[in-house]
Amino acid sequence: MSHQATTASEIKVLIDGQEARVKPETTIFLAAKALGISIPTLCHHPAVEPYGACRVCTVELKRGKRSRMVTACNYPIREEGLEIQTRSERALRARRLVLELLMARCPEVKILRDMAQEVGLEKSRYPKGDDKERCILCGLCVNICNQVVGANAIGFVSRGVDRKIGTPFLENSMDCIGCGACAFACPTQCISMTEKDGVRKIWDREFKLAVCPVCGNYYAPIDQLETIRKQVNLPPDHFKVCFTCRGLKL
Amino acid sequence: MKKINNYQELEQHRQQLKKETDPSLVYISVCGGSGCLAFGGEKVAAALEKEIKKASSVKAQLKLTGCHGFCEKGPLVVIRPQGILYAKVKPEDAAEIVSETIVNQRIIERLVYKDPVSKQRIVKEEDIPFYKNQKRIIFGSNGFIDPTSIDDYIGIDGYSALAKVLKGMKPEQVISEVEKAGLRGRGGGGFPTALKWKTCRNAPGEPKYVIINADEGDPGAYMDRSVLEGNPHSVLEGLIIGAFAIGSSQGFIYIRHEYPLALRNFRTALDQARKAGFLGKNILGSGFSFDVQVNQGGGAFVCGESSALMASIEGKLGEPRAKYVHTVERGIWDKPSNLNNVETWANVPLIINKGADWYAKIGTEGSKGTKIFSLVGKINNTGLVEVPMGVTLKHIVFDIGGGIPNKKKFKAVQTGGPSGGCLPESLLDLQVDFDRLTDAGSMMGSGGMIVMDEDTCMVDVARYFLNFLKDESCGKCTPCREGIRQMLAILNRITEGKGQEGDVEQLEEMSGGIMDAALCALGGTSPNPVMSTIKYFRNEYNAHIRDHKCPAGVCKALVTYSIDPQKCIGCGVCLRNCSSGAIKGAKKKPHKIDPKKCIKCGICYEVCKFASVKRS
Amino acid sequence: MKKAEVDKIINSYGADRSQVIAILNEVQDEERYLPEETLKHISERLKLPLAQLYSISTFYRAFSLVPKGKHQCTVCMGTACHVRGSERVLSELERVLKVKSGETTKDREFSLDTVNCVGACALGPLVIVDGEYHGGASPNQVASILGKDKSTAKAKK
Repeated sequence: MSHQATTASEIKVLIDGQEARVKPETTIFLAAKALGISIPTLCHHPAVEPYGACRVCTVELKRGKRSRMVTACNYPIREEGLEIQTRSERALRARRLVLELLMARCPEVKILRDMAQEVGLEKSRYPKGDDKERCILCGLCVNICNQVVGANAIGFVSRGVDRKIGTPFLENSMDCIGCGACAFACPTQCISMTEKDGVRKIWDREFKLAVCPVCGNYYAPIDQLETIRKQVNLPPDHFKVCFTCRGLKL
Repeated sequence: MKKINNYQELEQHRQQLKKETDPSLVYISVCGGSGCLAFGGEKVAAALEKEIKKASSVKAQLKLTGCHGFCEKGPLVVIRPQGILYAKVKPEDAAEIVSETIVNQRIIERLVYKDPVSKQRIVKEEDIPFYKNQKRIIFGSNGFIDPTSIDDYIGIDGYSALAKVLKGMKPEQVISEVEKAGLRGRGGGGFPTALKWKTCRNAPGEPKYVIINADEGDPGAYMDRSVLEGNPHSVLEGLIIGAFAIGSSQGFIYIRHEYPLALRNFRTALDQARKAGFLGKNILGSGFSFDVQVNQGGGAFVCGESSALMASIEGKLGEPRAKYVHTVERGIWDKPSNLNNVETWANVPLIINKGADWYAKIGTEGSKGTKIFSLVGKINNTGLVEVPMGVTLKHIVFDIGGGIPNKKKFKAVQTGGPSGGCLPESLLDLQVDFDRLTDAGSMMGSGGMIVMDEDTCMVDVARYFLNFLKDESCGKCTPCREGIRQMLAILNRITEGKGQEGDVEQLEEMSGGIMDAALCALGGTSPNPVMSTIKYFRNEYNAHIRDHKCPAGVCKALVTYSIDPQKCIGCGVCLRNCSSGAIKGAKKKPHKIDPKKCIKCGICYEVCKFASVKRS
Repeated sequence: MKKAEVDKIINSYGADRSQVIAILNEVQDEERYLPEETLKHISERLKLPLAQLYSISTFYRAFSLVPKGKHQCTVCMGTACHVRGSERVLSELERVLKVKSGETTKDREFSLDTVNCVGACALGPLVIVDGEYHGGASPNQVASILGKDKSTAKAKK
C-alpha cells in the first residue's frame, strides 16, 4: 500500500543513508545522482527512455521489512519510506554477476574490465567468447535511432543467445541517414564509422558529406541534413553552412 | 440462434432447450480433444455417425465433445445417460457399438476399461478411479457438451451467472464475491484475483482492458487448451463478468500459435455470443457493452509473461519490461489492463452461480477451489485431472494416475514447468496447494505435473529445462541471456562426463545473482529446476562429476550398450536395425556391440525382444 | 505471393499495425515462409519501419525467412515427451535426414523442427509429419515415419 507524500510534490527517500526529497516518479538513478551518488550503468542514456537491459545498476530496495532488487535507471519513486542501498552485498553480487558474464562475452572491452574492478572483480571465470565481440546488447544504438533520430534503420535481430543488432535482412538499410548517433552512443565503440575523402562509411553504406562553403570543412552527411530538413519543413538552403560557421556569422 | 434481449428471454430459451431434450435419446459422446483427435478420434466419430444413420430404429445422437481428460485411453467414447465408457476405440468398432451396446444393451468386453493396477474391469465412467478420485467442477462439463454449440452451453446453465450479475449486482459486489471465494490466479502466480480486479478498477485511466492469457507455454501443460477447446463459452462468460466488475468494455484473448483448434472453437464461440447478444452493445438490456479481440502468438514462450504478452498485442516484440508499475495500472497502450489465465476466468461463473461460500468450502485455507493438472510423463493414466486444492501428491500420482508403468520406481514429480522444481519421493505426502508447493522449493505453476521414474536422469532434467529457456529467452537482459547460457554450458559438461569439482558450487552461486538481477520471471526463476534437483538429487550430480556415471542410464556419453551373452539368442534383429554397423554376430550365436562404433542411439535396446541388450 | 493477395490479408485487419503478427501468420500459412519482397510491401502498407518488421519476423519462431521443405517434420520436445525419450528420436531423425533441427534438407524435401509441447502428452514421444501425428515414436521407427524405404536410407550412408 502506498503512503501519501508529506508535501504535495515531494517524497522523502533514503539512498546509502543520505536523504533526498524528490518529485514523484523520479528514478532512483536520478535521485542518487542529485545526491552525488553515482550508480554504474551501461544501457542508460539521458536522451532515451530507460531500457533496463544491462542490469548493472541493480540496487537493493527496502520497504518496511521486505527487501527486493530493482534497477535504479527505471525504478520510479512513488511512495514514502523507501531505503536504497547501492552497494549492499546483494547489489554488488548482482553487479559482479552481470559484469562477469559480459566480460566473458566481450573479452577485449575495456569499460567492462574497469567497471568490474570497481566491484572487486578481477577476471571472468566463464569460458571466453570471441575476442572480436564488442557488442553488449545494451540496445542504445537501436533506441537512439528509433526514439531520437527517428530513422529506424537498425533493430534487434533474432532472440536469446542469437540476438544481435542489425539492418533489415542484414543488407544495406535504406532508412539509415548516416548520422552516426548510434556510433556515438555505443558504450563499447563497437559500431564502425569511418570518414575519408568526404565520404562517411557506416553500416556498410557510404554517405557523401556536405561541405561548408564558408570554412570548407566536411560537416555532416547530405542524407542526414536533407532528412531532417524535410521532416522539420525548413527551406532548401537551411543547412548549407555548417553549424560552427552559422554561429560565427551571427 | 436469435438474439436474446433480456434475462427473461434467456430463461425462456433455457427452459425451452430443457423441454426439447428427449430423455430417451442416447448420446454418444466422442472425445474430440486434440489428443484423441491425434489418436484418430475424428475417424471414430465419423464411423459412429454413419452407423447411427444406418440403424434407423436407433434414437441416438453423436456429440463430438472437448477433451475428457483421460488421454491415455483415447479415443474415448462415452455412452450417456448410462455412462458406459469405451477406451481406445477404433473406427472398426463403430458398427458393433451401435448394434450391440445401443440397440441390444450389451457391453463389448474388449473396449471396457481395465484398471492397470487392480486389473478390474470397470464399465461406468464414474466408477473408474481416474475419474472417481477427481472433483471435476470446471472440467467435467467437457464430456457433456459440443463446444461449437452455444445451446449446449446454455442447456447446462451457461450465461446464467452473467444474467445474475448484470441483473442484480454492482461491480463492487462481484469483486467482493470473488474475494470471499478466495480465488487465486491459476496461471502460475497465484495472485488473489479479486485484488487484481480491484486495483485495475481503481487505477486511473481509460479505457480499461481485460485479457485472457491463453499462451500456455509450459511444456507438458495443456489444461488451458482443453478448456478452451472443450468449453470456450465458460471462459468467455467469466471474462464478460470480470469486465463488468472492472469497468472494461474491450477484452482480448492472446492464444498461442500452436493451438489452432482452441483458436477455431473460441472464435466460433465469439461469433455465437455476438449473435446471441452476450457480446456487443447493451448486453441483455443492462446498458453494459463489451467485445473481444483475438490475438495470436508467434511462437514465443516469453509471451506468456504479462508485459511481454501486452507488448505482443501492441504488435511489438515480445520483450518484457520492468513491472515496478504493474500492468494493472499501465498495461496495453499504458492503460489499466487486467490479465488472467484461462482457468481463472473459467472459475468465475461457478463462483457467481454457486456462491462464494460454496466455493470456499473446497480446498485449503490459503488455496480455495480446485486446480486442473496435466499429469504426464512416466505415469499409467496420462491425462488432465481436476482435484480440490490440498489433496496429496500421492493421491494424484497413484490413486488417480495409477502409478508408474512397467513396475518402475517413482522418482520425482516436476511442477511449475521451467520455473518450478521437482518433488522427490520423500514429499509424496505433501498437500498440493500454492503455498505448500512454494515452501517445498517448487511452485504450482500453470499445473503441469511431470512424473519421473528411476530411468529419468535428474541432471539431464535440469539441463533440459535450461536448454528450453535458452531457446525461449528474449535476450534483452544480461543475466538471462548470458547466465542461462553459462549454466547450460556447465550442465552440458556434466552430462557429457566432463564435469569438474566445483561445478555444483558455481551453479549455486550463479543462481542467487541471476534471481536478483534478471528482468522478468523467465530469467529470474531459471535457476529453480537446477537448484531443486541439486537439493534433492545431489548424489546424481556427484555420480556424473566424480564417477563419470549416469545412474539412470540416460546421458549418452556416460552410458554403454552391451549384449548379455547369456540372454542373447542370436536372432539378429538388433544387428539388422543398428544404425552404425556396430553389432556383429553369427546367426543363433550371441551378438556383440563394438563400443568404438556404437553411437548410443538406443535402437537395439528398443527392438530386442529378449531383454539381452543392457544399458548402463 | 501477389501484392493483391497480401493486400487482401492486410485489409482484412484494417491495416492495423498492432495486428502484424496475425498478418504475418496468414502470409506464412500461404507461402510457407516470409519472402523479402512481401515484407517490404507489408512495411509500407502498415507504416511499420522495415527494421522493426524484420525484428518481429526474426523474433517469433512461427516465422521463417527461408522457404521450408515440401514435408514438415516436427518433434515435440515437451517435458513429458523428453522424459519418454524424445531426444533419441530427434537424434535419429537428424542422422537420417542429415540436417540439424531448424534446417531443411538440401533437396528441399524435409524441414526438421522441434516444438515445445503441443499438448498431446499421452502420445509421447511425438513426431508430426505434415500434420499427421505419430505417437509413441522410437528411434527405430524413424524411417517408416518419414515414409522412406529403410534400405534407401541405409544405402545413402
